[in-house]
Amino acid sequence: MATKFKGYMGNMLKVNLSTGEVSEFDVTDRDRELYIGNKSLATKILMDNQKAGIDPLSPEAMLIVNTGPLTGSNAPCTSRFNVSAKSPLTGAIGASNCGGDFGVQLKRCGYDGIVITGKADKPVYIDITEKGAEIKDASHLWGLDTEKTQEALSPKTGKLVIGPAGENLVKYACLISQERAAGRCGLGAVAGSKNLKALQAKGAKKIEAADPEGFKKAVKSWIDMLKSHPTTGETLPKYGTANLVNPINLSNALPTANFSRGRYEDAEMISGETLAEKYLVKNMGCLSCPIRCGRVVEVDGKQVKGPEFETLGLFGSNILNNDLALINKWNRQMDLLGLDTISCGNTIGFAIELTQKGMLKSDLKFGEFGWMEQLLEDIAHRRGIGNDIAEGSRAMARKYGGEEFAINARGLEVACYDPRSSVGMGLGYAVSNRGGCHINAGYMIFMERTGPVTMDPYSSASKAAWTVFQQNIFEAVSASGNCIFTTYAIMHKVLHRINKRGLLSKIISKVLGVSGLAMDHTAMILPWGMPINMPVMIPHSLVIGKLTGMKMTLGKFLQAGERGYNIERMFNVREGAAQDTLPGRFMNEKLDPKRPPLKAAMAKMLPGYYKVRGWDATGVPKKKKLAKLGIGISASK
Amino acid sequence: MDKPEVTVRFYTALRARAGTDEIACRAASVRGVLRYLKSNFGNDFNKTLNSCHIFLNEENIVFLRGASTKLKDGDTLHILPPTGGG
Repeated sequence: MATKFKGYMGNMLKVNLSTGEVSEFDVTDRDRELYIGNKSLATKILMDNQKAGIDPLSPEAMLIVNTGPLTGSNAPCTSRFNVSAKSPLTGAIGASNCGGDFGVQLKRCGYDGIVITGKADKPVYIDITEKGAEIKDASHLWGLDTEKTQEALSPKTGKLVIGPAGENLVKYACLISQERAAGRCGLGAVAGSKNLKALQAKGAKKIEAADPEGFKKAVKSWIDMLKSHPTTGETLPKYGTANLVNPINLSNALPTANFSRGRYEDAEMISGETLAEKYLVKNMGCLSCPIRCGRVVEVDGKQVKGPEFETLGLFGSNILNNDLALINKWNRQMDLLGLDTISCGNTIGFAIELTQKGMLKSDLKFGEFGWMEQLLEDIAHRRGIGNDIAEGSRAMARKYGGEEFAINARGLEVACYDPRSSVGMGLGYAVSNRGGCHINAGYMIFMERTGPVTMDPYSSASKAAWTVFQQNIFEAVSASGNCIFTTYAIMHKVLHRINKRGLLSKIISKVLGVSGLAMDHTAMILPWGMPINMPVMIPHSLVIGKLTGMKMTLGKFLQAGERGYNIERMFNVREGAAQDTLPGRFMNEKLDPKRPPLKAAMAKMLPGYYKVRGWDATGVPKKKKLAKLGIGISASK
Repeated sequence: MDKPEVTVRFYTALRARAGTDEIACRAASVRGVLRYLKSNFGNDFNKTLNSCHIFLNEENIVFLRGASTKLKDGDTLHILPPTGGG
């Protein structure tokens, strides 16, 4: 089906691997306007077209790979595409976006996405060109790692592949494109369950803009803004996400010994500064990215992608490992096997503590790692104790006990920020639609600890409203095909020049602490309350408008994020996966003896969050809210 | 009586501007350290310094007495520019 909007290619593919049938999948322009694309639109498709309660690893389950209008448009940081399905790890919505080149090539073939159902009777890959999609034999690829698989496919195509972990249905198997991962929620296992080893795409179609000159001008100033910003123009390019190791450690929030402490005495040894000084060969970026936060390091004589902050924490401090070279090596090994490093590292930390407490018989130990390389292979191939760890921390706790120190939310292993030192992160982890994800949570640690202006990280005041704002904007940015790192520039570079010890900084902090009510009221009057664009801080809505021809405003953009967050919530309600809880360790055990346990702040924040969201006391969106957002009134088929 | 001797550690961009990861200096309070740094490093360093988070040992000075926080021998000040990642 064609579209009146530019930026989109106007077509989606539908492939049934059981029957071999390839057809078009219709998306309406109304849904494009409401959900923009990527994860939000994918959830809408799942809600409309997939039965409730489905086994995510059954042939009937859908796997969606799709893009946003900005994907491949040459706007900054827009190689992002999305993979969505019901998560086999959590039973909730599963969505993971990726900066590899598959999405851009998919659009150049003339497609905004592909909806995959069924199960092939032997290993296959999907070959996409401008003429459509073909299902091809992948028997020769089965068993190969993600790098060899990509090398064996056609050169110069965009690729998206699984490794042995996906083939063996490891519950947190990821998909890899180039060296970038659609890492979270176990979507590689969904592909594996369909005997789908890979997708490749190659095309030459152009992505047109509705207002080419206006788009070009807006993109140029956006790139300038990112390059001149202290975070996106200096810290991330020079130190990568690894720059966070020291600040998060000093904030008493760096997971240490399975989240039993928030500080690691050897944090400097696994930090971004050490990585830059001793191991960094160069930095790298996804297509069209001026930030270039990626690290290139050398492992076994080969230049490969270096670890992100999450991997450094969960394979460093959280298992008491101060050897960064080992983390580089394991990171590479997990990318080849197709394992999500966050869930994998977190679950290994849990397994070590289970062993330490005598609840699990294994050789795993904090601080000694002769076993690690073999264990990662065993997880990916489901051998021995690796088979248990492959199920994730929630399933392991059900088998061996230790639920209170199995550090997951909604079944997804929590990322590398301890919420006891950043209570807004605690709220975010608990309510996050995909589970213990720092991004989907709203990343409040930036507002509470690391950003240029900060709120009291132990106070519950105004955290509900700010969490909602952050979640909505991240949702909208992801839906558009843009990297959320562009949102760091929302805190304008001028704010980075404010004297932290000065009066103005103190006033801003106080104002943020009492701003919840104002934020709440602003949200209530969206979209007409913000009929403007603010390119100096949030260029996304202006650029989407120039590209697509939609009458996009900041208000509409933020409301699209709110809509996406709500439909994901409705998916979880439908699947019985909408319980908003945190592990007992977070709620009851103190990191700082001077502070009350996190459960005290959670008891205040959670009802406040539901209220701001327009959800009932059990966390279900009210009919009035859904009607206001237009959820349920459009018709994807 | 001599002022306390403290260690001052720099991180990310500030480390690059300082050209070293740490220095030792004598000062009675955080304000004294800041004054010392401002007079011993260049303009670029000072511009970044203003916006930095400061921790005394393991506590952010916003939870202590801010720049007026008193120091003692052996203390470590950690100075970090605002940042992000994820």
